[in-house]
This record gives sequence, C-alpha cells and structure tokens, in this order.
Amino acid sequence: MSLQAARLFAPKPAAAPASIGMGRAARDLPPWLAVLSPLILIGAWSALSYSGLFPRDIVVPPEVIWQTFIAKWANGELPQHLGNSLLRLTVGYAIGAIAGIALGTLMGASKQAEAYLMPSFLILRQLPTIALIPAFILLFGVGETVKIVLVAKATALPVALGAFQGVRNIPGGYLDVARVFRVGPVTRFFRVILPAILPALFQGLRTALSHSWVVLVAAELLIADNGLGQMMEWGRQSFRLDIVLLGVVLTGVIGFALDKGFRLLERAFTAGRAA
Amino acid sequence: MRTLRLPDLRGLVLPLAALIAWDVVAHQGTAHAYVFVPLEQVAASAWESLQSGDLLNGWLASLVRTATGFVIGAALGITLGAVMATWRVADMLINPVYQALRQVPLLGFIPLISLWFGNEEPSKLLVVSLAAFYPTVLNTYEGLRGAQDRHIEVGRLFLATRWQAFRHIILPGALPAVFTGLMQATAFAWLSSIGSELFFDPGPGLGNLMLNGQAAFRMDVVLLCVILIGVTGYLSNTAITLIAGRVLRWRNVR
Repeated sequence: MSLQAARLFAPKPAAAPASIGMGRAARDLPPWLAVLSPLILIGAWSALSYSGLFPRDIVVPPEVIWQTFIAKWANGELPQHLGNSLLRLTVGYAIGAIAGIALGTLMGASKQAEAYLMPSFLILRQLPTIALIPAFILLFGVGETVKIVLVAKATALPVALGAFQGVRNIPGGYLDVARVFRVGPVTRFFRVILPAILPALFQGLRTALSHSWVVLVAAELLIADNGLGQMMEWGRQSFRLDIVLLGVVLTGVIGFALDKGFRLLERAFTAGRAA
Repeated sequence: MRTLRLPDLRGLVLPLAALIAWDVVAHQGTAHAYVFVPLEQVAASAWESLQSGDLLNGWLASLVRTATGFVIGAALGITLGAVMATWRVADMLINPVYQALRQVPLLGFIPLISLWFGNEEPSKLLVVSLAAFYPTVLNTYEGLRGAQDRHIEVGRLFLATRWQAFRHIILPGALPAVFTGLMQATAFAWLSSIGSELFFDPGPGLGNLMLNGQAAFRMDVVLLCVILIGVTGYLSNTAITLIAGRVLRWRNVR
C-alpha cells in the first residue's frame, strides 16, 4: 500500500523544469539544433535589444552581459559568489544524500521500519521546500545553517525515495541465485545488491541535485549576503539588469552543467550494464 | 473473505512523538520559547485566524491565483505543445529556444520578472502561469509525438483519414501524457503561487501571511500556513488524479 503511495508521488516535479533536462523530445531532433538553439535565442535577443523598442537598460544587449561577466570575473566578485553558492550546495547536498540513502535503505530493507517511517515521509513530501523557508528562518536564523538545511531537505527526500525503490525492487531471483552459489555477504552486497539498487538511486540523486540547486538560488534571493542568488537580488534592487541577466544565464548554465555532469558520472558507474 | 482490520497505527508513532517532544520543549519556556510555541497556542491561533477570516482570505487569494495561472499556462502549453508536435517548422524553430529557456529554474527568473513587470499581482500571476506552462508543453508534445507506429499502421489499414487518425489514435494515445503534464502543472502552480508571494511585494495570500508571521516571530501562524499549504497541495493532487482516472477510465490499467 505504502509503496503504491510512494509510486503515486514518485513523479513529483522538482521546483523547476530544469530538472527534466534535455529529455526524449530533444533527442530525436538533429544534433546541430542543439548548437543552434542558443544562437537563435541570442540572435532574437540582440535583434530585440537593438530594435529600439525598449530602452537598452531594460533589454540589455548580449555583449553588455558578456562585458559584465568579464568585469565581475576579473575583479574577483563573481568567482567569490559562485564559490560560496557551490560550497553551500556541496555541503547541503552531501548531508542530504547521506541522510536520504540511510533513510531510504532502512525503509526498503525493513517492513517494520517502513510502517513506522513511511507515513511521516509522505507527509514531509507534501511540504514544498520553498514554503518551509519562513519556518526554517525562525528555527535556524538567517545565517549559513538555514541555507544548508534547506538544501539538505531538498536533497534527502528524492534520494530516500530512490534508495527505497531500489532496495524494494531488487529482483528476488538475484538473491536466490546468490544464495544457491553461497556468495558471502560482502560479495553479495557489492556484486548483487548494489548494482541492482544503483539505477533507482542515481535517478533520485540526480533529481535531488537539480532540485537542490533551485532551492539554493531561491534561498539566496531571500537570505544571504553573498552567492549567486544574492548577486541577482542586488542587481534587482539597484536596477542593474545586466547583472540580473548574467545571474539568470549563470543559474541556467550551472544547473544544466550539474545535470549533464551527473549523467556522465552515472554512465561511468553503470557502464557495462544492459540498458 | 475480507476481514476487518485495524489501520496500521505504527505510522502514527513518529508524528506523535515529534508533537510530544515539541510540546515538552515548548513548555520548558526558555531561550527558544518563540520558536517552539506550545501546541495549544497553535490551535488557539488557528481558531483566531479562522474567525478573523485572515487565513481563509489568504488561502483563497493564493488559490485563485493558482487556478487563474493554471488555466492560462495549461491552455497556452497544450496549444504550443500541439503545434510543435504537429508542425515540423514550428518544432525546428521553437523547440530549441524552449529547451534553452527551460534550463533556467523559474525562481531564477524572479529578479528579472520583477524589473520588467513590477512587483505586483501581475508578476505573481506570470510566474504561476509559467509554472503551469512548462510541464504542459513538454508532456503534450511528447504524448502527441509518442503515438505508437503500429497503432497508426492499423489506422492506415482501415483507411482512416488524417482527422480520424488524430481523433481516434493519436489523441487517446496522448491523453495520459497530457494528464501527467497537468498533474505536474497543478503541483508547480500551487507551489509557485506561494513562492511568488515570498519574492514580490506584499499582497493577499498564504505566503504573505507566513512572511508576516515570520517577521512577527509568530511560529504558530507560520506553522498553520505550512500545514494548510501541504494539505491543499495534497488535495489538489488527489483531485487531478481522480479526474485523470475518470477521463482515462477506458484504459486497461494493469
């Protein structure tokens, strides 16, 4: 019953479409279109910007954004913002992933644990991370802790679900075969159980990564004195659209790169498996 | 034979334990007294805000924004998805741009939307509409493109016209995917309706009640809003699942 419930909620979307990445739809298009897409966007953008329909300060031309990027990078401001954001992401993600794997494995391996934990888990899933920001500010203040807790929360739930489904769906036959061949516990874990869990676990880890990046940027928009979100918020308050747009592009590029990087990692780990 | 069984009560242990622990800490009454408010205070403030109508009005405001944005976003999304799926030229031109824009999380666009369209209600509605728009486009597109070739072959054997093929083969095949998109859109729209209130100017809504509660160190109010947000999300999810089940009841579900 609860597994069914968990499945029902499984396609719960991340807070932003970025998590879906370049899906199936993109793949059956010719590959050169992937290169063309940013070009079309930049071309249309430049045309709009130079058409004079809107003031240049409002629709900032691409090369001004590029110059802002160079200037901010050279004076060290941008590397610092990015470094802070990525550090927060790494710490929060690591904590969340470890907690999620532990929780998911426990629920998957023990019916008893599932009966105790799953209802609370499903309740927690109904509370969107963004909506918890005010409550977490009261609980954890406005320092570093609250951002890391938010990222960890956003990470832990999808990871736990992935681990749970992975463990629960290990084909019973695998374990039987391992038993027949009298495989030792260590070998059984590394050669039978782990490979069977990995695909579902990776799915959860990847969803969690895109999701936690979104949550972090949102948290930094509200509460931070540095980081990519804060840079955008500063640009917003001081009407610097070039900085805001730079932030928008960087948010997208980093989210995309994280997802792509993770896919490559995943492929390396699951190499040799029949797809 | 069906036997009457007690529902599994083990799932209640953890939430109850958490509530008791919360209440114990709350009645220690020291440094964190404003955070760990006693449960009776949450209940009292729930009753109070229900009577004053604050909670109901805020909830309605957020809900109306969600519904409006959902209708706008989903209608445009289904349209664009259908156009891209059926017209090759539009697909070539729009799809890459859509894919590129999709890489930026919606919340990342908020500073830009605020500078371009202001900090008032229209900007919030725009965010909600976009939240409903993205998943609907994607799923409508994939659903319509994913019609199974062998089904279309059968249609061709029966000399189906283009319209008949669309009406009786492609459309029914796409509906489950469209509903998946609408389900995601519902969840996104509700979340971003609340979220948008946190990032733009104060106005009516649950998100703002929550922010005010936070500013006034009223954990009871914040908690109340969080609970209401979760319950509403759950109910809307259940509702759209039921609707999808009814519309798609002809399907053989294993």
